[in-house]
Amino acid sequence: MRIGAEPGPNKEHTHQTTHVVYDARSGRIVATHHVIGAPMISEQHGRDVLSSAHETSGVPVEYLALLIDPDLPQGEGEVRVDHASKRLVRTGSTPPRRIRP
Amino acid sequence: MDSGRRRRFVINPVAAGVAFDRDSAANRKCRYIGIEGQRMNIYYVRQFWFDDFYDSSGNLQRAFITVSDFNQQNIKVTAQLNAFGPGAHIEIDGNTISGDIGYAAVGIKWYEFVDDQGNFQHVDNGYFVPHATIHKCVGIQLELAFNRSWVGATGAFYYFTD
Repeated sequence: MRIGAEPGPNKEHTHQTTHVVYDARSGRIVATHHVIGAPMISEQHGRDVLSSAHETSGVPVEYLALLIDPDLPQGEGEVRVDHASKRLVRTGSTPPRRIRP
Repeated sequence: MDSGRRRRFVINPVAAGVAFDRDSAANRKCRYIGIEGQRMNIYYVRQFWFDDFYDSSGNLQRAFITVSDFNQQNIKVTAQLNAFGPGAHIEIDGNTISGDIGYAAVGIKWYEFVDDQGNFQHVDNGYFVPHATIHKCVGIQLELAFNRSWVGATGAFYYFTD
């Protein structure tokens, strides 16, 4: 789940951050937000992200949690969040890739 | 930004897909999502990517890229899936088979621009619009939504002058 974009023409002004919204009970990722150009992400933005994730997923907002700029572990398995360590981990479930390059 | 002048509207995806009269008031809004072939002086190309996303749980998962550093430059944006491997969930109960298969979509969720009168405009799309031409662009949010599938998507912002 790599997400991102190249810098714009004014490269020195580009700031990028990734917010992962997940269900703290299961570690299941509900939404991933990659934000480019906003100078600082406010607490209000965090609340808006959680509220939006709640509306689209149906997961109660009190069970949603936010992980900011996590490292992505190597490998191919499905990604979830280990709530205790606040890190992304891969599960044993691998994608149904029927074709390879 | 003057919040008193801020307006919000939703583009009808059906209307956006048909030819329109440039002179009508309603279609002056639509021209910000260009649908006609046109020459552009492109001076910068900026790629974005949603690589190698996977859900096996059967719950809808969404990923967003939000860009707000366009500084009112003219932007052409396109997005498309580049890999898709659907999973499936099948239940057999007697003579009845039920279940679901994976699905995914990518497109422009919303965009913002400054119109000819200098007003800030925010447009929410009601469809996964895969391309748009936005003059004086302020911001764009792209969304990849997927369920029970392995999926990737990519695209580019093309900076152009008139």
